[in-house]
Amino acid sequence: MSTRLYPAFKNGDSKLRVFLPDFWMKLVKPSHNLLPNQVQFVVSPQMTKLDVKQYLEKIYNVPVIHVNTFNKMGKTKTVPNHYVTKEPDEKIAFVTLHKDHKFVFPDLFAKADDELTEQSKSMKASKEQYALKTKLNISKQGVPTWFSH
Amino acid sequence: MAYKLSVANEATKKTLISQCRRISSYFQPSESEYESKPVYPPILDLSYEAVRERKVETVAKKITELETVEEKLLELNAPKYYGWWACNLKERFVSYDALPFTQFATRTCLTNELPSIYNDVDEIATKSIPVVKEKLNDLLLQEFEFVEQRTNRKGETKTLATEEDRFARNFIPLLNRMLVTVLSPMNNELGLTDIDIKPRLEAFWFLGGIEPDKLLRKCRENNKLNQKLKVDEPIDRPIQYYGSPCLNLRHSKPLPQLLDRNSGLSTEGTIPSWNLDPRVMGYKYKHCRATNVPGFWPGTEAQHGYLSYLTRGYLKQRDDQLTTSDHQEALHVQAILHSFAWTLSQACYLGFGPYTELTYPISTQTIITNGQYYSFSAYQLNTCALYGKHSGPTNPHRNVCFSTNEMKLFDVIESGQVKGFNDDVLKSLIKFYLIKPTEPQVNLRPYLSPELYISNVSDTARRQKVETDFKYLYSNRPRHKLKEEIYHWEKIYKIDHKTRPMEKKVRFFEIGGKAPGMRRLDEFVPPYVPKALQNPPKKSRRGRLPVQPSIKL
Repeated sequence: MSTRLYPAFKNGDSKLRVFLPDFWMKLVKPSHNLLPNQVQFVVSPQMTKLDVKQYLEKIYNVPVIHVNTFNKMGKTKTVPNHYVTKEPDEKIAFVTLHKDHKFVFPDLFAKADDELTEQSKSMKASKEQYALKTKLNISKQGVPTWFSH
Repeated sequence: MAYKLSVANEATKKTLISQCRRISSYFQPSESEYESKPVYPPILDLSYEAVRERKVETVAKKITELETVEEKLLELNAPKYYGWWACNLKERFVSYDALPFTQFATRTCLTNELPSIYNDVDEIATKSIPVVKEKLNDLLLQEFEFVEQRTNRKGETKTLATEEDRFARNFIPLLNRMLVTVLSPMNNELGLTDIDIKPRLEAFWFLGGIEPDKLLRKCRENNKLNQKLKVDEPIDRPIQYYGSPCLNLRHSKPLPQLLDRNSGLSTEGTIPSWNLDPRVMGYKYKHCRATNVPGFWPGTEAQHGYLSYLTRGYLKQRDDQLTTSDHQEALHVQAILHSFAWTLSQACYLGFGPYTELTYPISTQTIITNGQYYSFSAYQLNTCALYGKHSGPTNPHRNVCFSTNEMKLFDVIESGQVKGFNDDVLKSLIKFYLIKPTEPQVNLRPYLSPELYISNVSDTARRQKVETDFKYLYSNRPRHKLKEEIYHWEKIYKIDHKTRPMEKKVRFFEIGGKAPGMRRLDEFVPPYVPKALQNPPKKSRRGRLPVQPSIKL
């Protein structure tokens, strides 16, 4: 329901209604090929399978058959000669809808390259060059390139 | 192989011989080596795909040519010391909309009616209905009304599913016994059947045509040595099925064919296409042994399946939404998987297997029941080798499952009376017991030697080794020494990010060599043989042989 602590449910108690749950769900492009009636979400790590199901059913009126969740560890990263850091962990939920209910994640950047004008193409090229230059001196990220390093 | 020279005439032959003699005095080809027609070795297709296919076929050929059942089953496990990483399918766990995947995985086409073989016994069945009905009435009243069912054992969780299963496990053997005794006069073979209660049923096969996962795709992309391998090339996935039927009936003669193997549904039935990894269905992968156990061990006389009873308590454990929309499909899935697994493991005991295609069909009958609801199905296994391309259109055969929808035997039992008795269900039940197993017309074991099982082999060393290996492997016990693992901190600080370059390289992944998962079954340190028993016996430093045993072995 929410990340707030709420009293444990006992048989006979009235339902606890939560009006502005601070749970969140993020629809993402599937990491691997799923069935046509499956959708992949990144959800708040405090949510359970039942929470995910009720979130979709009660707020968005989407009937859900089944939910599978797992906690994915964030990737470890290191800068040379520096310590190892880790990105935050995520909880991934695979939601199975009714078999006739198909969902395809939309292709958001389909016409990106075709519609670029001359100016935006040169902007893109210079951005890529800048990225290359800064990548070479990754230990000095954020420092402008006109410093000689 | 001697390559024979072709020569134009006698004169050239003689000059060739004399020339050869001048070059090398040792080479003296005799006249009989020359033939008029040249004999060349077979021309092999050297394309990448053909070479890969031939590699798989050598494995299949090796297993097919082994002589005994146990050796064939062991050889399936040979490439993996720690077990195959296989998709585990369980009878009690049927995920949502599992029918398309199940049909593809077992290459089965499904029809809703029972085959024509049951129409032949229709008359006798109708005549037997009154006798059976009376006894069944008593049995139903006894089990549903009067007898207090055995409660759960101490500490067992009590759910609707386990309650129903417990009831069914009490009811089904009684039902079977009643039907066998009443129908024996009409079918003599029933008295010769063997019964297994809660037998161990396991089946293993390879399924081709599955798309590779992300990790394998990345490996293929980064593989600069082998550019010919396409990233999306489908792979084989091993599948291990674990079933738990309530009751099995077996006979020494096989059931008759349900339909022709080379025509009709067996070659033209529709099977849904599938290419996704089974994990999208919710099934898990696990390291497990490739076991094919039909509920009995090799060497049993009654080794052809006759009839099988399954329970359906698991349906009560599924989510509410699944029970309403997916209920009937789940029963079909259960029937198909169980029948395929049972016939496949029987086929393995007859010399066939996941790499050896059948030469004749194998049939079986299944009843899924909880006392009140009955689903009947008859299955014919036409093809069991589904590796590589054989799971797709190149395989001419399909397996066929004739499965009815669930039917009620009675509506309700009230005040000592069974109400709403359905005679059709009873008739189908009787028909299943009236089919007579027939003497086989074909060679049942074309790929086995006359010895059949390892217990008949006279070579002591081979027999003892295979027997112990087979029994150990099929016990599914884990190894005492577990597989070597990379600890999490090592993965981060030694492998992903090289933060400890000057440390001594002691761990298995630092030394180099094969990955632990690639270890074969025959890669182990063999047991120590005492010097006196070594062959040849090891001599002492002074050149003396060890003391000879007094009895010549």
